[in-house]
Amino acid sequence: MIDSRRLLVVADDLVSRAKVGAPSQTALRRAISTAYYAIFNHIVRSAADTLVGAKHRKSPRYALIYRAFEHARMRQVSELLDKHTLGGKARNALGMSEPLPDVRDIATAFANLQEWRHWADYDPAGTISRSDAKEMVAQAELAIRKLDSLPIEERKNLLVFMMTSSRL
Amino acid sequence: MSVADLVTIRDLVLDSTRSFGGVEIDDVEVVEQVGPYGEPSLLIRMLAQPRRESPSWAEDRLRLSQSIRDDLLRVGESRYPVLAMFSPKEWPSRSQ
Repeated sequence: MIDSRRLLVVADDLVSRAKVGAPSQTALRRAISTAYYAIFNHIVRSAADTLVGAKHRKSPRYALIYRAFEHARMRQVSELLDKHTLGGKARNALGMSEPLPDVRDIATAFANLQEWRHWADYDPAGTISRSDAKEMVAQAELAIRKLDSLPIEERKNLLVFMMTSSRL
Repeated sequence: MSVADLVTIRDLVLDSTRSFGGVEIDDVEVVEQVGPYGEPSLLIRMLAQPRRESPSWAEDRLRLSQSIRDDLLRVGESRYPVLAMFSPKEWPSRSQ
């Protein structure tokens, strides 16, 4: 099983390595990509653990939930949640008209990290600063912590919305 | 205004950051880019004085991003803002 916190340690290590001499764009780009994968994996794993149960990790239904998440849909949901006042779809999914600050922080961090990961992996242009790479690792760590500390009902609402939004 | 021009957005972002406590932004540059799924987003490059070692900086930066997002939505600009911060030393090489 992939450990999202271990991924963050790897990402942090890559940023630290880039500190020696001129910042290595390769190391900084891999750090951002790894940080994105850490938050993605944590959301997916949290959903499977919450909805199916950690003790059923080897079951087919656990694998089904794990694979049900799509990056593009999660991004759409993140943008729907990254608002002061929620629109109809998000309001229905979360049962509130304004997102909890922690829910919005998770959504903002996810959208940011996905955008940065795309840039880091696929766009050869532009320079990624060491501080931005460090910041993306910190945002992933913060979002993971906030997801774990959400009340269970709010966590379930968020995870199900991220998994199923286009079908609602 | 559904698609604000980049200069207007730059001015709006500068106003947002001025009203955001504790963050000193000396310059802003806005460029449109294509996001992971082909949708346009806004890359907002900021020249910022270093203060990122603060333990709350990750959360502060999320709040700054949200503040800018709210201001953009208020004027009908739905392209997603992505912040990139550069120190004075890094700023000259930001787009290389």
